[in-house]
Amino acid sequence: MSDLREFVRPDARPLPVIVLADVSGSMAADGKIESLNRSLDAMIRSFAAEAEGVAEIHVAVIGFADRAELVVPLQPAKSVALKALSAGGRTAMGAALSITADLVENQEVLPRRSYRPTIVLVSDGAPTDDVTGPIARFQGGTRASKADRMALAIGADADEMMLRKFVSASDGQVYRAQDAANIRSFFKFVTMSVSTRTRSVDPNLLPALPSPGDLDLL
Amino acid sequence: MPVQGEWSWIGSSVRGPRHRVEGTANQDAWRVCCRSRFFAAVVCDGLGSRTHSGFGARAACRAVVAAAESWSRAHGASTEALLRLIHAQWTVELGQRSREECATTCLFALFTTDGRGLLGQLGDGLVYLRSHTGGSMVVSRSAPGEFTNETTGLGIATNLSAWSTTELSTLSPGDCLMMATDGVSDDLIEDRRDALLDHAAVRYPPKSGDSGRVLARDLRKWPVIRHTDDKTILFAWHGATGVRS
Repeated sequence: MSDLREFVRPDARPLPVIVLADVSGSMAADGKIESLNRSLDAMIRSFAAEAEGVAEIHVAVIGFADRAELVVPLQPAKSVALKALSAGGRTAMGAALSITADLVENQEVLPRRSYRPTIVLVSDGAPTDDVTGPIARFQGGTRASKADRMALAIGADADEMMLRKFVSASDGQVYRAQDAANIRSFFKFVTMSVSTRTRSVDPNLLPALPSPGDLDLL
Repeated sequence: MPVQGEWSWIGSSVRGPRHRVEGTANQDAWRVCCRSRFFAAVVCDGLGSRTHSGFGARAACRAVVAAAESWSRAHGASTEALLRLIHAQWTVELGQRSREECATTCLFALFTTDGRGLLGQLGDGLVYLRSHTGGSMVVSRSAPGEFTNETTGLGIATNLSAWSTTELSTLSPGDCLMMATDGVSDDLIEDRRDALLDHAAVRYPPKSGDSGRVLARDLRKWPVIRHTDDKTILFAWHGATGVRS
């Protein structure tokens, strides 16, 4: 063992994944919230089992309905004990985006040794609070603007235009899921994408993403 | 022998696990030069994605020393003049190689015998100076929003504003310096830097011929899970090694 161990942080450099999950009332219909819970759980368990790669995947989950709440604070995936999310209320997406931007800009929570975070926004509706200011933080914020972003629009009522604003200025895409079954496909894709990053020479480099049509979500 | 005049120093650079597995060379470099008119210490980290970055890092070490040689002769020369000299000298050192393919960070400390002192940093890594009184300073980062492995450097920066510099007055005996590439600095615990300086003075005493090997061995056994980067660290002491009780 090195004689330098008392001067360094021994843990692997983190690769943060932050999930913003719409848990508004409409998510209770058609099995969407159940599918979201199963998909999130599978993704986190897959991340926890990721033994290869240069980074350790850390996960945070922010749920938003009448208000936004940090359901799972950022922590190693292997430490996460996810309780099932329940749906009900409006769609405070702006508040969720504000919490996320605060988190990404906080160097105590995301130290400089972190790899660039991936932010995943999942929603089946339109925001019921102001999103203009929070979205601007992802376009101009010192660190938030560098985050990799993906979004999933569930069903016909999702505000796809707003989701596109969220992913703009990153190489991210907006994917569409017509029903609950496709939510799982999306999270499998997110899992694959993040796992590929941890195993790459430079986890800051985003692997080539398939176009929404290639994901077989439509 | 890493003891000359008022200065003593010890440094080492080792390949990281990624380059060992790939069978490729260390892309970090370091150099200390102590001459009659100046003392210069340089640490550089060639950018991993560039073909000739290891060459670029070594060229940057030579460039800083060559620039220091000229700058130290010119009393009253500005900080900007030194930085321009470094860029120009580095370009000369590259010969026909492309600057982009030789991109490297460049961290230096320069002290002249006429009383000028300058710490400079282009890109990530650490330049840390501790005074004999116990106070300390880090060259301020110009890009606080960076994540790991995001950096600038020679061959990337197009403006001198990308540099962070700190001008200093004359050093005193007991002042000491620690410089490192990000393979080391990103993992260091901030409030253990002084303890590490004290530890280094005891474990890697500059007067011992074995200290460089011991330091290299400790760097190779870097105690961080899944680390990959090359690692370079340099300690320098002005006057006594300055171990604090």
